[in-house]
Amino acid sequence: MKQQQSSLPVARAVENQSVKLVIVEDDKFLRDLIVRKLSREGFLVWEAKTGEEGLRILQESPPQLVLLDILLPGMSGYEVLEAMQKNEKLKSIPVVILSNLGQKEEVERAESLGAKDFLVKAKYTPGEIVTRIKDILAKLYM
Amino acid sequence: MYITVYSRKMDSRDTTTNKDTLPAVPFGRSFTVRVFLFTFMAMLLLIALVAMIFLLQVPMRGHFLFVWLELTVSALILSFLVAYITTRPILTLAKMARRIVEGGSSVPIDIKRNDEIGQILHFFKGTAKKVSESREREVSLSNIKSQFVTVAAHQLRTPLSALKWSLRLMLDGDMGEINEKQREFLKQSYQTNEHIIHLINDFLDISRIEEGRFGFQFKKTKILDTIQKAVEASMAQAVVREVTLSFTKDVPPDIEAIADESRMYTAVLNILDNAIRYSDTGGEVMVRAALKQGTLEIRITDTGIGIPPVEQSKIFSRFYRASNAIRQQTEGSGLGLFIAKNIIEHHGGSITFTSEEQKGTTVSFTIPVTDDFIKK
Repeated sequence: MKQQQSSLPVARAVENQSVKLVIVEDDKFLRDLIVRKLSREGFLVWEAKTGEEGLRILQESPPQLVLLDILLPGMSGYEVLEAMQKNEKLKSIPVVILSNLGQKEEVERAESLGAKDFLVKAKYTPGEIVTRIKDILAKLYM
Repeated sequence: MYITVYSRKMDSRDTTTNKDTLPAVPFGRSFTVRVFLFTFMAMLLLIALVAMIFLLQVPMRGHFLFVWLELTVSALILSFLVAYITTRPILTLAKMARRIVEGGSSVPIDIKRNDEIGQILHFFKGTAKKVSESREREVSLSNIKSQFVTVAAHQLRTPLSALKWSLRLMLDGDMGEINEKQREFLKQSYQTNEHIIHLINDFLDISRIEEGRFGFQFKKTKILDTIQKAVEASMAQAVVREVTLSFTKDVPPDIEAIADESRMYTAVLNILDNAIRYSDTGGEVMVRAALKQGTLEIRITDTGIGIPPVEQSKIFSRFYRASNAIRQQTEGSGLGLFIAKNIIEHHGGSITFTSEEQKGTTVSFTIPVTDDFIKK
């Protein structure tokens, strides 16, 4: 199984530790925990505390995927998504929402703004989040 | 707090009602007097007509018939007029009452009359206003309540997520090696934390159900996988309580249903939680999936304490917990089955149960499965 996957660019990239992720999360503890897990899984993780900071990092060097919170100081996650949609360079970067919201309207709003997935923090373990990220990357870059 | 606010409002209402007291209707404008006069005049007219016939002793047959006919027609017209003026205001009132019942917030009321009917309309308008005011207050109170629940749930979920993640990272060995004893304690902490998260999700769901905004995201789902996930998630609880948990599938494993995966998972988890929680050590919980006339039937049978017959009608009510359940376990919100029922009914299914005290309970629910599967 692993042999087969190695032929995929993503799997190769993961092994080479060159898949770059940006995480936008204001809670330091949560950010530290998920960054620790992602780094252990071999991802290169850039951290941002606010939507504005996240967008700046995205502009400077676009990553393969963005993990985005919705309730943030300043710009909300929705606004970050809107800004990304308007920008040709950032439009195609997949965004996974990682929030503790998660009612139908919130999920629909995020999806209509181009989010690839919506994960509720309290419902997913770091391991499950990594699996979802890998699935999305595999589907997109295969 | 609640009561004081209300009683103060009631006091202010009472004074306005006192101010509203209308003066007595003047004799000349009285509805009663008018109806009386009208009927009396009609009677006099008829008597006069009859008297005329007898006094004048109308001789001709043809004329005689004509006069009787005239009398009958006059009586009809007069009766109609009396009936009309008396019942018209009643009909208007009935119409308004209907509008209020149907939820019309503003009821246009014509109070140009200043007789008894006008008075009734006036008080009726006051009542209608009060009804719509209390309805508005109810809506705004319920909004405040659900806003509170949403904010509180979100504020609680963030630290609980942090706990969940850190405990999980330790259990997964991401924070370095841990020994068996540490693992055991961490596992229990993780379960406790999961329990609180589950409870908060229940509160959120209830508040959404009450608001009528309990959203579903339906899509084609391999429904047995969803149930399997719920069974696996309940395994830890079953192990702790030393209850055997099994899942028998008498259906093809790739059976599909139009369902909301996460909501269905919650429904099954809630039913399983009850089955395991109220089973004694050494008990058994069996989940069985079978096809019955195009619907998937899931039966969850336990060997637990059962539900007392007199309480069986209430177990799907929110916050309700059977008396023997409370005696056995103080923990529990009484929300699980209420939520499960709501979810299953939204999927076009139904949920029923049979139970015998000290023997056990079987909860069965149905989910319609997609047509293309049945054709196979």
